[in-house]
Amino acid sequence: MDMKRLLMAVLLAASLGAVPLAAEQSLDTRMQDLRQEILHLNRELFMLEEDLLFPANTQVAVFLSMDVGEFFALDSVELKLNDRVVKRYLYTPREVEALLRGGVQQLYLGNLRSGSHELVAVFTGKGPHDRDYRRATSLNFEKGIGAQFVELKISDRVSRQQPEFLVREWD
Amino acid sequence: MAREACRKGLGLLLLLAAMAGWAAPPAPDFALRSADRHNVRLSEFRGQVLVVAFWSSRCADCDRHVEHLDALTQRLSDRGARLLVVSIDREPNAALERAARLQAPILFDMEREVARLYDIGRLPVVHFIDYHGRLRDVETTANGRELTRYERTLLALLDE
Repeated sequence: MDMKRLLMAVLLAASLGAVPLAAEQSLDTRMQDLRQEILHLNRELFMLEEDLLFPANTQVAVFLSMDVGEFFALDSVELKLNDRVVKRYLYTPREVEALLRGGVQQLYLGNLRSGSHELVAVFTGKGPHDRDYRRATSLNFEKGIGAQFVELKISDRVSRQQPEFLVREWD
Repeated sequence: MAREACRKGLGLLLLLAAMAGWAAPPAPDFALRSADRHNVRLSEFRGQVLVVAFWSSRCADCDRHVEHLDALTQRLSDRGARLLVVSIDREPNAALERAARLQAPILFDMEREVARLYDIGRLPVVHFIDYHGRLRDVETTANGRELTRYERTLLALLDE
């Protein structure tokens, strides 16, 4: 990562040094282009890094989304894969707000071998009447060849005045 | 000729400045619960200059450091200075008492996960994080002179 920053700094300085005086007015445009190139390069490096660390045949990703949220104020999620805690996540008010606005969070990204696995998610927060609330949900799934995507969804069950915690595999 | 030399000099200065900042590692992100029961995430302070002071009720110098930093960051708050105090006590009571006397939020790291993340060996220790979320300076000495250095470091980062 440091090499990347160094490369960006060298590119920036080389660009500044190489600009002829007559082309001063185009400096801003060139800086903007350079910035775009750096952003593009950064994105490609990020994707390459993900492909190397989490190859498609072993990759498992868990996403979290929320719907409405009148009966549950999310505080944290603990994620277990095959009885091992793989992620603990505390949510700030800003993050909860983003989820309520329709955001989907990639909660976990890791590797799993093919076969049967169990995922357990434990949600804590405030439930109806501002009471402390803790609820677990689980999913048994078969990991085949190819990436596995799982979604955890928190929604309101208006008929029971309770939150609902759903877990499902993405096709 | 002179203008070209100036331009190259400026380019070199920019390069050095950029390298000084870019070479700094990103501050490890964390989220902790605060004394007022909100969760606070470090990365949400991006765009502000952040001072992270680790604190324990067992550290004799920590109170003085934290009080000084609290007053300093309050004074410079309109320029974007913020202080987070991370308590590494196993029990929250002492930190809650301390929180009542501070403007800055106190965060509980009772499992000491963040202390491990930041490789805390001794207290007091103060981390300075720049506008871009990069860890720019760590102060570990407690000989009295560091209080002046805190201000100098903070002002330098605010001026960037």
